[in-house]
Amino acid sequence: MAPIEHVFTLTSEAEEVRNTLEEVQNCIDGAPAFAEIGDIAQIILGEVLNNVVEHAYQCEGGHPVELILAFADTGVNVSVTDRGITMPKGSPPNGGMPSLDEDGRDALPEGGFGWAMIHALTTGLTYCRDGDRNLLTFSIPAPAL
Amino acid sequence: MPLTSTDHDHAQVVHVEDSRLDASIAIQFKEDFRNLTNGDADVILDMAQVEFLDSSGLGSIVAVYKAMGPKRAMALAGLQPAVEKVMMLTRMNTVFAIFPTLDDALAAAAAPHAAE
Repeated sequence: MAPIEHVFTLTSEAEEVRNTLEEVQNCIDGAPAFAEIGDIAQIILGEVLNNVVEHAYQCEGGHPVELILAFADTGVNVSVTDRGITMPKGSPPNGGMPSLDEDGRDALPEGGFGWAMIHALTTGLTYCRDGDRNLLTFSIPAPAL
Repeated sequence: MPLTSTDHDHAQVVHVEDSRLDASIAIQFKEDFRNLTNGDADVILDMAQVEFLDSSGLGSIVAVYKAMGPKRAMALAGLQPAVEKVMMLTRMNTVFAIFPTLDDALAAAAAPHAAE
């Protein structure tokens, strides 16, 4: 089937991210073949969009973010565009899952899970800086299709 | 206020009264949790209402667990599928005891005391 594209535009605020995730859920609910990846899509897109708000735009509201979902045979192809600052070192963090193996409660990690989950749940992650824009693309594979 | 608390014989239960435990309420969660749990009881976090947990929400759960000190236990109860997925993926299910329902968690909290 030809990919069906859905475009979501939002501004850089937590409330907007929340609303967009709801719209994405409605969109996925309307595509029964993709129902199984609904939870995973919420987790991934929540992390990605919050990163844009908190890091690319440094928690400054009112800036544009564009999210495009393309439903294809192999899963959902995602692109996220913003006009915030470039990623540190020009690439996304490596995102290994933080270790829980250190002894003791005090050694437990409280962060670093966001990118680790994005890497674990997506395929084909690419990032590029295009003029004043950040462009992040990846796929959410749909094993059941 | 996104949290409420009820006292039981062998644990204090903290209920999350929000469908999302995410970046937008993580700081409030930490403050409210600490204010509610300044005793010395073990805690069960009732997450039955939480449909969505993100990395900030997860970080805030770890933070309050650490702040409870080394001797108090914390268990998680009533995890919905998306929340359980985050716990499995990050292996936090190896750190916290996780129970399908609050009743299960309360039964487990009472079990070590059954012989008393």
